[in-house]
Amino acid sequence: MGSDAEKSEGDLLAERFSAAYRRLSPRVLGYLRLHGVEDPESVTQDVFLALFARLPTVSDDEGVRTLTFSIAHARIVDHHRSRTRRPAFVPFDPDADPRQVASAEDAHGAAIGEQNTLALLHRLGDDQREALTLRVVAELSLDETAQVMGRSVGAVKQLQRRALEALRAIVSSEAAHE
Amino acid sequence: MSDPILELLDEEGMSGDAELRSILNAMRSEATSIRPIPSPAVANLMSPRPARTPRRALTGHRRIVTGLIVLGSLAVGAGAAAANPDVRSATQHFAQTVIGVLGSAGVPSSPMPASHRPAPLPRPTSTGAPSHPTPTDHPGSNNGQVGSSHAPGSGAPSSPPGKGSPSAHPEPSPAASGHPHHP
Repeated sequence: MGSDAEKSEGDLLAERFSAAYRRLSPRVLGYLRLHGVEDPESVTQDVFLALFARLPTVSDDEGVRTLTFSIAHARIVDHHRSRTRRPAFVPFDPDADPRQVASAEDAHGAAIGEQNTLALLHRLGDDQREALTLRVVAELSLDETAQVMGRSVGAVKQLQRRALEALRAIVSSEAAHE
Repeated sequence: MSDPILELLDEEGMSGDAELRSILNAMRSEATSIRPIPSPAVANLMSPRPARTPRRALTGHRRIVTGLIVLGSLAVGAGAAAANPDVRSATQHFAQTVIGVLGSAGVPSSPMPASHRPAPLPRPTSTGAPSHPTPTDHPGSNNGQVGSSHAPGSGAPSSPPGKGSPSAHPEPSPAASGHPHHP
């Protein structure tokens, strides 16, 4: 009787974890990529390993989502703190490398402008980018975003407004420049 | 559930900005386009736990089978030993030895040698002879036979004083009497 209860409880936990991974892992990976985390795939796995231990503490899907991005946010903070203690790596710039030619994927990406959308985010401040990615990529509500960032709802609302205005100004200036 | 991008733009009063909306949509689709493959550790957590009930049933059967094997081995060993005449004679000899040892231990006798026993206190009598000569005072006496020939308290020692063991002598010690026992 007790073994049946343990078995069903373990199976239920595994099912919840699988569903959370299928639903949230692409968003967690994108969230980590947008914040410049090195080896975002490995950090994504670490986030979900940490989530599994705390999964029984939350009951609904919204709680799981908030908890997952709280863990991911903590990983990003740890990453940036550790990066300040190490020498910064210079990212590879394919334009400066004369050995490479543009691939078909790059040509296609440039054609549809997808590379520019992520590049736009990197022009924002850290907090503005954090608020915008949590709202757009993680699909968190205003309250959940404030909870993950550890800020008030008003502060997050102000950050996202400034982020959208900055984004709009960048797009307008680029359009005028072209 | 409403679109989070539309919700965000509504909150900030920018729901009519189609260009901003398309940029945010492109940003979301690009950021979530890669589905990470779970690592072995994560995949292990995603698999359901193995059932434990059949394992417990096997454990219970294993105990019963082990008990039956042990009992059968003991029965076979006991039967083989009973069928062997050498084992039977050895067993009888061992039983007789044990009974003999236990029987001799039941006889009231001192396990200590006579020379190690303390000397009895002298009782003042008119003749000066010890009133309780013990059978062990007589050298070479048998413990099991002396007690029957001389009743305790009869006042007739089996050996004259001075010929028994020095330690069992009822007289005072030589140092007290002033006569050295061994000149």
